[in-house]
Amino acid sequence: MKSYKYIWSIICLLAGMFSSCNDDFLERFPLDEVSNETFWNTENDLATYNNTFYHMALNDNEVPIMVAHHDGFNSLAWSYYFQDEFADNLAPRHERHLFFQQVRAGKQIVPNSAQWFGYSGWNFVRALNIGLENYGKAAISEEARNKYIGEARLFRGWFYAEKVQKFGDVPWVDHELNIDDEALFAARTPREEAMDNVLADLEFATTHIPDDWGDGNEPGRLNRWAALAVMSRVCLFEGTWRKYHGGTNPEMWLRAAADAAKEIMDNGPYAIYNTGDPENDYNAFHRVLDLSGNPEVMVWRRYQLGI
Amino acid sequence: MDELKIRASYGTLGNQLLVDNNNNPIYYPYIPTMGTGQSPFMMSAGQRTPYVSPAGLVSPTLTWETVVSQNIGLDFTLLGGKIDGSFDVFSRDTKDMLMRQQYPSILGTGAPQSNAADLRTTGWELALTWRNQVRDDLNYDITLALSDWTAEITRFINPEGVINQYYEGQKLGEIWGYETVGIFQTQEAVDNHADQSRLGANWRPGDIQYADLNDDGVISPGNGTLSEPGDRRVIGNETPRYSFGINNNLQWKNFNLNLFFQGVGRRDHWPTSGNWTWFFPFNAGHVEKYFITDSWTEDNRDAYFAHPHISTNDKKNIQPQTRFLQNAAYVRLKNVNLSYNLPAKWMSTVGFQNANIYFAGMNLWEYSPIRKPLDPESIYAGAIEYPMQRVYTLGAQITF
Repeated sequence: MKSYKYIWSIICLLAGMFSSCNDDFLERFPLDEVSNETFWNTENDLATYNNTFYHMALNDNEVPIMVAHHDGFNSLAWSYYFQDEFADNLAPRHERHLFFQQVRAGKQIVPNSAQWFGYSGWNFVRALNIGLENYGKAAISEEARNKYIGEARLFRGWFYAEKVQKFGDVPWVDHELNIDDEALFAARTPREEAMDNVLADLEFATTHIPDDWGDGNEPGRLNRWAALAVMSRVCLFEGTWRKYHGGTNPEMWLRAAADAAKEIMDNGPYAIYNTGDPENDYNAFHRVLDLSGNPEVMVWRRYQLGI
Repeated sequence: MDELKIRASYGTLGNQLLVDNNNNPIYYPYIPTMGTGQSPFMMSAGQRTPYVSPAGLVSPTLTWETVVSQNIGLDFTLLGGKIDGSFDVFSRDTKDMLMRQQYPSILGTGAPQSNAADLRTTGWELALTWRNQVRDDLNYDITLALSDWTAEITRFINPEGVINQYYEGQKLGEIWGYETVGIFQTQEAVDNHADQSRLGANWRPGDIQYADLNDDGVISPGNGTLSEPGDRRVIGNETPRYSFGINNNLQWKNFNLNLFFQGVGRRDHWPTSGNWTWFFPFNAGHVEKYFITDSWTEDNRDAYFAHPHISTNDKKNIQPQTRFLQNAAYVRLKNVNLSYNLPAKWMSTVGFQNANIYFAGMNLWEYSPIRKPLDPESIYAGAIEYPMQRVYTLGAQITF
């Protein structure tokens, strides 16, 4: 009996000596903060993450696609004026709008130094790419996952389409960059290659985003119909540009634009707002704050005091 | 010699306390954490939308900073305690200093802190005291404290040698600027000089003439790199050199006098040319007399400043340059204290334990070659603030 005890104690001692700490035990994540390693688990996590895209797009100085209203006085200097000043909707006379005046006057003057507009918004692309790299971690069905992938790719394609419209060639970034990434210093991606990527993003989005997110659409997330509308516009611009400025395969782009629009017209739930008063209907719905339930409105933004 | 001691020390210390942009500590610098918030982008009525935003970047090679300190010192006492001194030479190497480098904006977020730089600080310190008892009722002592240090970047990844970042071999505090030839006196001089249009438009008599250091016929900042600094060079350094303090005590009978001087032996200062700051005429919302008397006109051709420009936009005449570089060396009488202890025999008659009347003054005198209204001790505040004040105090101290 006694010798058994010795043997046992030696075995126990050896076991203690030769086993080591589990490194995972020492690897701890902060409990009071959300970290990338611990976040991506449920469908709700993905949805909450994707909310950040809508939040970032509020800043239309950096992300002009949603035509938001950036920030008080500054909105007069940049932001949505970008869009409207290239058209004849606005004609401000202040000096800082000189670029747009020149464009409208048909002059083409290339500035000899970097300008403040258009080179920002890369935080948005980074957020999208981080999402796309991490959605796979959640243990949810592929169908559910693809909804959020589609949403992110819709934003990415849309954002890049806007950049291409302004600059032509753009640096296409499809993954999160760190400071040692060679892509940081890479040349711009040629226009047609970038737009092929845009089209792939939009095609994925328009097939995987649901027609209805089941969120009451007030105003809710961008649904498949909104994605189709974006795709139609982007493809129309690109097809027309290629047709009149040179480029390959403009018909394919114009066809894609037409198909996307036709899909909304034939199968979409939208209709002209009509209360049987054609004299006033158009005017009426432009003057209400709450557009929920209006069949003519696809995407809208709610403003409310005191929130 | 009454005492002699030689000291030496060597120490290495890691620093893992990282701070964010607001100087708050980051406890998990190696774990990227995601932000959370409530967006005003409303997805449903009556409530904000919660969101989680992407995590920031962590440098793939992050490690902690190491500080290596070394010093050699000497303590000594001479002449029966009359001279007391200590002298120290030190160096401090900060290895793998954490800082943010600049990257192309497609990085999409603020650059993470990375171990990008090494910094070497070297210097010395001297403290000397002279103490003397002249008579029973007269003694005095003088203490001098003198120190000097410089810091140099010994490693920083900046292959293009961009001047407005750190670069290897940079002495901290460097001021880059143009060399000033003078003020253009005639239109002919303007026409014959190198082209200054890169710095501003509409050059005419009364404007500053910059030297064409690289002889290319154009005054320019180059492309802002060490290899092409244009017509700029290091014109000074704002590190304070030879900081000193002198403390004097004199005691004679019941009188006690204390004088404390403080100063800096060498320091360059570029007066900020930002709006709403001191110094440069018509740069702020007020006018001082010297703006008018010291500005160039055809009748005042030797003026210090260029001709008046009433505009906060046009900085062409106040680019960093040798003409307006200030020598911020100074010595100032920070404190004077003269006190008289009333004789003890009077005290007993009135019932006080002791009484003392004194006069004290702060900032009573100074000397500095810096130009008014700048003050070498308050120039680093930037915007216009309340100037230094002379303070006189007369008082009595009575203990019952």
